[in-house]
Amino acid sequence: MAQITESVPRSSNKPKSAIGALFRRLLRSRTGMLGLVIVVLVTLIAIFAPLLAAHDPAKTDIMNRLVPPFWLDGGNMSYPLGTDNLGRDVLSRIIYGSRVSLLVGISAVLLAGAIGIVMGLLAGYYGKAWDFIIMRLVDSFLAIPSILFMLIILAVMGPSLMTLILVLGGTSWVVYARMVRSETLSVKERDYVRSAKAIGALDFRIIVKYILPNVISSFIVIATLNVASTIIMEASLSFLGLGIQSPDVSWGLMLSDGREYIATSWWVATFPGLAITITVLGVIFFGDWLRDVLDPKIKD
Amino acid sequence: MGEELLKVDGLKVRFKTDDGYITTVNGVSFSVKKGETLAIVGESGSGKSVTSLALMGILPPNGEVVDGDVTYKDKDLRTLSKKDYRKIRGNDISMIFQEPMTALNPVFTIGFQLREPLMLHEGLSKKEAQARGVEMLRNVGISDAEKVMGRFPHQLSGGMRQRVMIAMALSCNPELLIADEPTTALDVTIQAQILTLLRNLKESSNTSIMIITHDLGVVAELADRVIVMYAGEVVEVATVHELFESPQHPYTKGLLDSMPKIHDVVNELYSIEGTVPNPAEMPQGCKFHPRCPFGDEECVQTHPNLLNVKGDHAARCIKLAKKELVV
Amino acid sequence: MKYLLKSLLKTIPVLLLITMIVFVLMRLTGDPVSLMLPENATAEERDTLRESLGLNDPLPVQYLAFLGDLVKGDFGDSFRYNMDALDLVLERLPATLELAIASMIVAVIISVPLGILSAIKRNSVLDLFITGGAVVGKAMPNFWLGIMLILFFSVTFQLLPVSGRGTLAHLVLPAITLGTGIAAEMTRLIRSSMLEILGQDFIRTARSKGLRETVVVNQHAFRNALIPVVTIMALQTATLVGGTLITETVFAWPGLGQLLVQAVNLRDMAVVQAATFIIAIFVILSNLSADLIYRLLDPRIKYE
Repeated sequence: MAQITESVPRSSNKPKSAIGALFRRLLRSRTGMLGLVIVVLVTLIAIFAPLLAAHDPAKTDIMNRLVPPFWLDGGNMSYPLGTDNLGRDVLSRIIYGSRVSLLVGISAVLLAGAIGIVMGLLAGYYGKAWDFIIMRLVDSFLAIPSILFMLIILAVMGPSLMTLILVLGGTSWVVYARMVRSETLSVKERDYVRSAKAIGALDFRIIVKYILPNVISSFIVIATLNVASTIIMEASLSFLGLGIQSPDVSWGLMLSDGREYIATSWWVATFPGLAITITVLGVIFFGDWLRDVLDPKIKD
Repeated sequence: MGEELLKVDGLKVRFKTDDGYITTVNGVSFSVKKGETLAIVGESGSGKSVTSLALMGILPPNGEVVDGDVTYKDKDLRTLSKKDYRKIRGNDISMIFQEPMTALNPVFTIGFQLREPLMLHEGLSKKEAQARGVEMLRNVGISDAEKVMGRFPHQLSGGMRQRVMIAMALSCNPELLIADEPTTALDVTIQAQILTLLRNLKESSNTSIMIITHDLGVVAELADRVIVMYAGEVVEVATVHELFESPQHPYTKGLLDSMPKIHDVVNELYSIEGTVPNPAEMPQGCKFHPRCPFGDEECVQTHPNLLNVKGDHAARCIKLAKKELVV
Repeated sequence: MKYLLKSLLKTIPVLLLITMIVFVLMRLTGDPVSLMLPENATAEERDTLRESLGLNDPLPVQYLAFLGDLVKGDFGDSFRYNMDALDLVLERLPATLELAIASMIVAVIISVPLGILSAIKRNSVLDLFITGGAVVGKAMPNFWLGIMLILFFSVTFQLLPVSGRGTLAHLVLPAITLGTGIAAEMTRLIRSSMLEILGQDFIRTARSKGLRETVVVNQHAFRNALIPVVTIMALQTATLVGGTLITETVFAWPGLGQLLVQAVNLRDMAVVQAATFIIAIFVILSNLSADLIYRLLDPRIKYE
């Protein structure tokens, strides 16, 4: 038998750089690419808002209130998407609104992730009482719609940008805690971690070296998709008057103004909603692609 | 015996995957005669299960028959309407599967699942179907049949479930029973019971059986004729006696040598080196040559045809023609 | 029955923890006295109120007193409406339940056929449209969809009322707004659940029996696919609650959600608490019933 050495042809495993391979797969996924383009575009708009916006987003101009978009009768290129009930330029406000959306979306998710990782590590790594208390807390948070907690905190603390971030971050850490806990539990039992522990490695070192690298890809995927839901949540709370307050600009706030004038001036509410939808769609597309590539085991 | 019940000619099945099409059954031809038991043997990945699913017309959505003819009695199954095909399925031709644990629907009772084909094909009322179901369960050796009818699959053992599957497949008196690895997933003692059940069926009825297996012990126990498949092709056809007495294809020989024999005092079990090639990366020429002890340059160059050895015994190897392999 | 009792008992710790969280949030994040008295109140006035409210007692004592009031259903009076907060909340409850049930019906009517269809026509153009629509539905803020529906059906075509509650016509737009949001998520889940089930061995068995494809899909597959979907629908009650808050505000629907949002804006704490607890109980009950339905659907789970 041994004389036959010719083997079955195998797939060619040319060495490729990891980033290069990821990018190639991104190109192959049309929705993933679209998502990335939207995310990059919105980020650029947020960064360069002062350069892009033709008007001060908060400047009222009663003489030019409720001007329609340029293609309608009475519209002009000075206000391409029209003006709102106080004569503020809708396009400029949308451009500036992207800042709040991204700022709140990303910082709330980072906060939630930080809380979740700490909680998950405490529960998973130290177990016992920690695990019991944290998991009961997780259960309660899961049993109750997070919007209720948000409303209570907002009622007590009063709405502001900072409160909004705290509230959104403070109520969505549960997913991360569960993910980190279960990952920690499984990693903790692996031989190399046990032997590291046996030779007296510090907990901190074990956590940083063995546990965190294992959760990073799941974390990135969950966090990206979490940004999408947080952006919607911010808009919702601002729409309800509990989030961003005038004169700051938020897409949700614009929608609540637009709701009042929907019978006469449809553009005030339509365009900010479109901005939210496109941005969130971009983040979801990008996040779904990340999930497919980084972590196929996570499902909805 | 003698009359052909099912005739397969040049069957070709391919699957659509992310990396394009792969052909897993490539020009398979054989026939099943009335009352005979035909075994299809091969390692996993040889295309034997796909062949049976193609005959039943229940390939997964990404699979399709692209070439060949399948004739059952006088009907061309490939051009049959969906409706007429359904009338054959579960009625004239029925099938039992490898995994009894997952082959039954977990949310319906055994009774519900047994009554289904009876009410569908035989037009029985629920009550009549219930009575027939109980009878069928008794026939496959389940004594407390009434009780079992009311049970859910998870409440039964693997062996019991396979009996239920067999009862279900036989309930409409099929002319052909396709059994895809019916014993593989079971314990050894249960295996023997299920095999006995199939042998009784073979002896007591005129039902043709097509048994798909990788286990030559099962073949020896049940089969009249054997087809050996490798990499989507038939590599040898013979009666069971011929095959065990004078195997012609090196692959068949390998399979036989790797079979444990009770009387032999061999220290080591022989096994064929390597694995069945991935269908996406089929070797040139003879598909077995990379694993064949006799493979040479010629085998890489030429794809051999099925060659007659004597009578109905044929094998797919060029060395045969040159008599280099005659034992 | 025994199981039901057991599950009810199990919800008690969760409820307790929720009361604790609410209590801690209320006490630690703000001084109720400063919310209850006008800005220019004297220190003496504050102290008197503090004493009368028992706020000078140690926290555990305060918590017990708080729990005692809860059990009695005493959340205090709404300063905005000058009436018992719980009564106010219960008065608004039917409107919200009406909206929630109608929305769930809309969601099921949309998502079940579409989810099944996109699963059996996997990777077809139809599937692409359905899954694409579901993603867009998820990305679209609920309230924006509501506003767009008002623009279209009420303003442009004047087919349906803009807002308020009363006739069935009033219910249509809010129910569609809230229902489609939930349908978007459910369609995706039904699709993936169906896809998983359709690949199972027992589906192959069902086909091998000669059953019609509709029977295979709608009976053999869907009954199994339903099991995870029911659990998911229960999780959707949380989305539903969030959705009612917003939808009710968009359509001026006089329900619990609108009341709660107003109360939060006005810092009407008694109402906030009462509404929170009623909603919490509603969510817990719906989770419980989902759990029971789950047991009915899946014979593999033993009855206790």
